[in-house]
Amino acid sequence: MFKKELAEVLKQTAWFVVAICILPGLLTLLKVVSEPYLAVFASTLQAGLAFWSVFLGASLFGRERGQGAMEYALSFPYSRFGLLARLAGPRLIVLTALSITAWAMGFIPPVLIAGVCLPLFLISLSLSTVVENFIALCLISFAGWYALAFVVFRLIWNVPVRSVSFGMLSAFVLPQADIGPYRSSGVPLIFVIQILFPILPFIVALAASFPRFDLRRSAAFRKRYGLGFASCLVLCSLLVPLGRSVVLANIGYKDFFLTDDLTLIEWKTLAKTLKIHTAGSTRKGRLDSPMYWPIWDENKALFFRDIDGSLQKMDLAGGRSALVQRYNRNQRSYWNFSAYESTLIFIETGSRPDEIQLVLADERTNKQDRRAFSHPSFRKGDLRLIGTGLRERIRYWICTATDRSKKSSLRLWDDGRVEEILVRGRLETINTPHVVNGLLIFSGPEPMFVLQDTGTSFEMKKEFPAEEGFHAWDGLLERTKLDLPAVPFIYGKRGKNLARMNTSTLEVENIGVWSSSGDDAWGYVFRKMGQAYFIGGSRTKKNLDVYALGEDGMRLIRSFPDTDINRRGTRYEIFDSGIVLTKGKRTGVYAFPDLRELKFQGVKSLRQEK
Amino acid sequence: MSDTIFEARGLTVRYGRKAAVSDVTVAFARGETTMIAGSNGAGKSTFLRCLAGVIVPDRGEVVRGLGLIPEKIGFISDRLSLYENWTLGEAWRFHRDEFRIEARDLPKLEGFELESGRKIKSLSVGERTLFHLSLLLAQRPDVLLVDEVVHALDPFLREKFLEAVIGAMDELHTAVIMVNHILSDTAQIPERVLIMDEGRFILDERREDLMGRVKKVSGEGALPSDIPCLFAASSEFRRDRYIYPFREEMRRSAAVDFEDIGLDEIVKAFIGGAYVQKRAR
Repeated sequence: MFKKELAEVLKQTAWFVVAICILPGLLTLLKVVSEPYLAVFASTLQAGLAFWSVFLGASLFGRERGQGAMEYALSFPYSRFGLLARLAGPRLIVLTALSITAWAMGFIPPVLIAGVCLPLFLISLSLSTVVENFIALCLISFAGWYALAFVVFRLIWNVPVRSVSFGMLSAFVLPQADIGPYRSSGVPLIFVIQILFPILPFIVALAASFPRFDLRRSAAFRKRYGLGFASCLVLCSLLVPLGRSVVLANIGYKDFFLTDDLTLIEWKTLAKTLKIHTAGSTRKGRLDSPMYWPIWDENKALFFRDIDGSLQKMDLAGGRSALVQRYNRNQRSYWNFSAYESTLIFIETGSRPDEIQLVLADERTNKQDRRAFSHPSFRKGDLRLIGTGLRERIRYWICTATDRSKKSSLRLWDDGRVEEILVRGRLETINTPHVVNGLLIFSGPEPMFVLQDTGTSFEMKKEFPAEEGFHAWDGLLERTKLDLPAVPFIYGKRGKNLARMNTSTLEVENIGVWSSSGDDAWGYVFRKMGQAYFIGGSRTKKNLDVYALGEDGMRLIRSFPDTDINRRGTRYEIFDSGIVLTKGKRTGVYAFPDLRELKFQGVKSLRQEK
Repeated sequence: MSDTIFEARGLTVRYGRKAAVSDVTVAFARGETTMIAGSNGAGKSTFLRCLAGVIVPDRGEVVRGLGLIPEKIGFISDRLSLYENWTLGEAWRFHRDEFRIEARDLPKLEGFELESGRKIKSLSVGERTLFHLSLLLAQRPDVLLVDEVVHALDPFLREKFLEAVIGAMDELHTAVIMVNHILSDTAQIPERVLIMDEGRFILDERREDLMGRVKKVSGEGALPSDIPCLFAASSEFRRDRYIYPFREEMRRSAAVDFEDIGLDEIVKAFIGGAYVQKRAR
């Protein structure tokens, strides 16, 4: 039976593969899509594989039902699990082989196989024993995976860490799953739990009920299935938070944040406490909601995103956190926010798809103001503020709307006008715009160009020829603070050289070789306290070097040998006041400008390691 | 018990709230031929499917006798369940592998041959029944479970079918448990008769004993009250009463003629009696 089933499944899968190969070709030929064939093929294969996983699971008894052989199959001389293995085994083998082939060819990521295809296959396989209607079975499989993977998972993970609120209820009814905090927490076990959790109740239900599987799908069989499912779900619900606590306490790594006044914050994703290290003492801080990511610090306060996406402020002296801006699920606040002077600025969706609202929160008065803007580009989703300024006493903000690789740049005036920033008559660009010294610098895969703000519009100031090869690549360009003082230079790469562009003359000059570490060298420019630095190294040499950039070019200020950033547990973070380098359980803290090492109680330094 | 090939212990099978088989305990002996009869919906086929392992009872269990392995159980259902898109050759090879049959060639029943390239779905009901039986006999079964398939066969094929079954009984000492309620052709086969009603066996007798314990009284003659009347069939022209259990001394107490009747009529009387009791309730 195994061989027969394998042959049958292989035949069906061959047809599936043929269809997946032809469909993108047709879409490309008929110009339904503009992407190249391989890109469409990859997308089609990814979506198709998810559906195919459900089909393979759902059709467990498809042939028996279709050919009236159910009774015959159930009378075979082996146990129910024997029958299940003979029917499910070939399906699992074919699905795995297909997935691995697609992965090896670079068409699908392993997370899609482990997190979507395999769970969907097992869920539909399990449900095929209780649901007979094929279409209903497929729909329930998708819904079951979605519900458990996102809704219940989210609930269970959030219940212990935040109070029951309407927000949680709405997340249950209308899931807007945000699993980012868990995925990026750097704890693989959490991700494994995330994958296993949705399928475990289905597997347990199948295992509990299948010995009683027969022609009737009797009430006793369904009851066993339901009981197995429910009890496993409850058990998982109890074990997952417990597992999370154990994982975080024992396996999850520590994260650090170094403030401007050299206070070291030690924290863990999803934990509700943190440690505040100063030069001579360590104390505990309590968080109302676990920290997801610290953003910046100011006046002995640390601003951070919590796991719900809300902006919180931690008083480092008092050790307590307070809510600054709640993440509004209904308004679908964008994750990014910016700041200038004492204003924090967030983007929220408006009442229409093409409308957004800028939320202006004054940090001193705690007052909030809103401005509504509408433009078709706002439908595209990913919005980011890149600059602000004043013209004739009217405030404006410059934002980009990103749709895949295309960016639209817009100037939003405080009086509600939306000004399109056109480049050669077109709104969309491939290069990414950055605002520096009143200039709009577009850098990216295409030759760089710079626009000048005339007050009422933007005019082309300089188009760099392709052979110039200079691409601005400066940490200054990716910033939260929009009101940085004027800078004389913008840094970037020009082939193997590190170069800088004078922001007045727009002339570019080389200041050193950034790839001196070798062919596999890496590095980038970052800005702290108005000073530019270059950090880089080589993967083979396992080094990490920090240079100060100035009039005299690149000056090495500290080298960190034996630092393999590809090694698990080794990572570095750059803050305004210094660098934190972590290797396993040891951490080195180095302060700008000379990167001298700082000592903190309770933090094992890297020097002790030697 | 060493002679027992199958034993059902407290079997209960439900379809929703209705019990198709209700707390049935019964044993079957090696080499014994048993006929299970009963009204429609009595639970005969469900019981047989439990023995075949196709239905898992809600309560109770089916215990196989010592030495009986699953490969030696042959089951043919009234739905003639096979992969119908396959050819006979494919079906045979598959069945041979699954049931670990040593024979290599497509089995044939004497006087009945089919081309191995034909698809199962192209066969007539009779051809399909005999092909299915040939597959089961190739297993050299210790037990043959046959659902209501005989009545669907034409007289020629029915004879072939019964010849094959009797041949297996003689040659292999196969126990046959057959569900049937038309016994005109098969009355001489069973050694034991079970009659089922509402999920329970209401009769379990050796055929010879049963033939002696059921008699028919025709006509209007009065019967003494101590003579148990199983079922009375009346029409405009005649009146028949079936007596069970009959004892020889009844001939002396009643001035009526007790007629011997065939198995077919006995089963009809029991089923009729069951219907009367149901109506009375």
